[in-house]
Amino acid sequence: MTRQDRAALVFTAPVLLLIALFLLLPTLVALGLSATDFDIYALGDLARLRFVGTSNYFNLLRDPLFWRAWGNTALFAALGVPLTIGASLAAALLLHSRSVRWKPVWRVALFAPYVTTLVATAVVWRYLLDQRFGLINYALGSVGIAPVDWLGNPRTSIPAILFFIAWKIFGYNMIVFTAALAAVPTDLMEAARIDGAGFWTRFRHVTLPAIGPVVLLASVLSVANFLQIFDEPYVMTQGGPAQSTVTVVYFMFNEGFEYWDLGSASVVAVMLFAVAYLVTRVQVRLGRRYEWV
Amino acid sequence: MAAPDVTQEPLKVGNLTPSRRAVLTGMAASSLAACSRTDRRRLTFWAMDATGENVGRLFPAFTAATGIAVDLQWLPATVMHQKLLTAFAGGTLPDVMMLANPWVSELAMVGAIAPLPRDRRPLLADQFPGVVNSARANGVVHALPWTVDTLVQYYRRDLLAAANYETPPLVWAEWKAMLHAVRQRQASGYALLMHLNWPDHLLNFAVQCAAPMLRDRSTRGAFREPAFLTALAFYKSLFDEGLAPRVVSTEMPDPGGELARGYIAVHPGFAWTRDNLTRRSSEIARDRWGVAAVPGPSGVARGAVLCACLGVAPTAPDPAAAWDLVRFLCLPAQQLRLEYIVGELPSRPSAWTAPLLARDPVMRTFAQQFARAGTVPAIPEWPRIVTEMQLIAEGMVRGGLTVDAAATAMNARADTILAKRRWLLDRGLINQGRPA
Repeated sequence: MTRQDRAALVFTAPVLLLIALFLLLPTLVALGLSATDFDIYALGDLARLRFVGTSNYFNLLRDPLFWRAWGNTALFAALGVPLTIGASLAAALLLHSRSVRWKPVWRVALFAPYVTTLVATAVVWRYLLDQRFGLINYALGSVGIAPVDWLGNPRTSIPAILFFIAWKIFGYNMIVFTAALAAVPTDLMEAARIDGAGFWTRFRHVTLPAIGPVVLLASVLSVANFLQIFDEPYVMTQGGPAQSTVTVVYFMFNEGFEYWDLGSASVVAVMLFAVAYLVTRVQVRLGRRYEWV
Repeated sequence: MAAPDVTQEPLKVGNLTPSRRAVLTGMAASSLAACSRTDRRRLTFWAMDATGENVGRLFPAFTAATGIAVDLQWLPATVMHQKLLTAFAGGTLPDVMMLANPWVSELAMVGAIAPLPRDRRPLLADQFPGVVNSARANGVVHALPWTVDTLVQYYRRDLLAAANYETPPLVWAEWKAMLHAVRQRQASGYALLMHLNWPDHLLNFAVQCAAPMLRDRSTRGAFREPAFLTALAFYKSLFDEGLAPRVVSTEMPDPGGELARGYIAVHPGFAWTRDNLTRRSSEIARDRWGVAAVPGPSGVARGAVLCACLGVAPTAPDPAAAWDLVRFLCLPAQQLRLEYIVGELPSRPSAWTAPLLARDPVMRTFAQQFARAGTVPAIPEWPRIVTEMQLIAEGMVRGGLTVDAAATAMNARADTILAKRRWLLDRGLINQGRPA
């Protein structure tokens, strides 16, 4: 080991130690827990703990709520990713337009929800979405649409939460897209304009190819984020109505802390880890193809 | 009623003649004590829901009489159970906690609540027997009943009168005949409302039939016993015959409002429906609704009683003070104050002899039902089994399953959940549980 290597080790050791202690170790413990039946009985007395191998996995696969949770999470991702990416891109394009004034003000205003406290905004949105007194139903009522019980109806609960999530997080990707749009070559843009290309054609054939990789990366990251969705349903609906907003992480939380079945909760964590890992592999592969890594 | 005697022993107060030095040391001691959890005359108390929001109004009298201050932490009922378990795991339990009776066996098993000390046995006097039994784990009382609630049926007098019934019959078959008669006279709506996501109605029918629900030392589901099948079939028939809508509470969150507008004529509900209907006196006059006991298979029977208890953590540094607080809050006079403030019903039979409650016919119905409190299995897994039972029952009512298939599915779910318990009992790692 050279002197330089030793110095590098000394500098990185604190961080490596922290990562080992707070990331690696808990992950390994969770993996170990998933093969035990650590439950409320074991919490009282560790002599009541036993090694169960893979039976937690098979029990979970037979649990209809577990599949429901995956279905709900997939629905969140399938609707949420296009919604948030679309909103971010639309906002970024509007902000990029030369006719918009006070750009920094708009940028801050649209980015602000991203940095607000989730619980506080969720409470406000619960008021907005209220069936009888909510502003949203009031607005719908003025155009003749009957009040919708947004968070109380199993069919509207996911869309209602998604609107809130989209409002909260679109600002982040908007900033990313704004940066990408700044890199779109202006000479190409002007050439296209002189050749008579309309807004849509210019977007389709000049802008999109230039920012495509960024949009793709943002989409893949969004999928990974939507896989871990928990706070919003926890604060707004507690998984209801009729379990329509129970997500995988919410299910894991309930197994672990409501029923104190930590073995089963760890299995969910391991499965989520596997799925997130696969998504990341796809992301890296896409990245290689488009040469952004 | 006798004035409450709050302390059991006289308060010991040192330094009655304050010198400058004593005051200074006292100040130093109290500021130190304020920073430490081992402060002897200060209690932490966790309470939930409306009770938790309002119980603070009872504390000044307690603090004045005992010198014990109470730090109240209010929690929503939806998170109370998980908070108590995580607090136990993390060693941060409060001294005194409010808990629902289905949690008693679990919290006692892990050691999160202490058994009632020998010298506090007098607290078990003046209790509804069935209610206090629900606070036992392995036969030992671990928490003191504080507020109680049970299902009674709220009915529209005028809609029943139109069908030639003055009061609802209390035998299932006749009751159902009445519901049919009411339903036939209705242009729209239903006769009955029972939310499909509430286990209480089915559970109450099962307790009325004296269905054991678990067997073999509570290690297997007994949902295929004839008594439970009877209850389940009756429950299903009420939906199948079009008497009750297939809705969950989020779709129809306001039974009082539905009664007021006549969409339903009967709703078996808890005490808060009474408050709801009382508040709506402009929509539904007091003489247009009545309360009766829920009907049983062959007349009024034992029913399931919900109870919020008060427990003391084994880790409480000052258990005497903690039990003093429990004793104070459970005094009939304090329970009556709480009833007045938030409408939570007293768990002490003598409180029900107070004129305000004894003269009220609605309240009399409740009191009679508490005296008939039936039993449900008291094992840690029970709340989860009830949740699964109702999910299967909801699927059955929505048309997926026959009564037989639903009962089989319930047994299968219960047996899976109870696998660990069977293993523990086989090896003698846990006690058997409360004898039935």
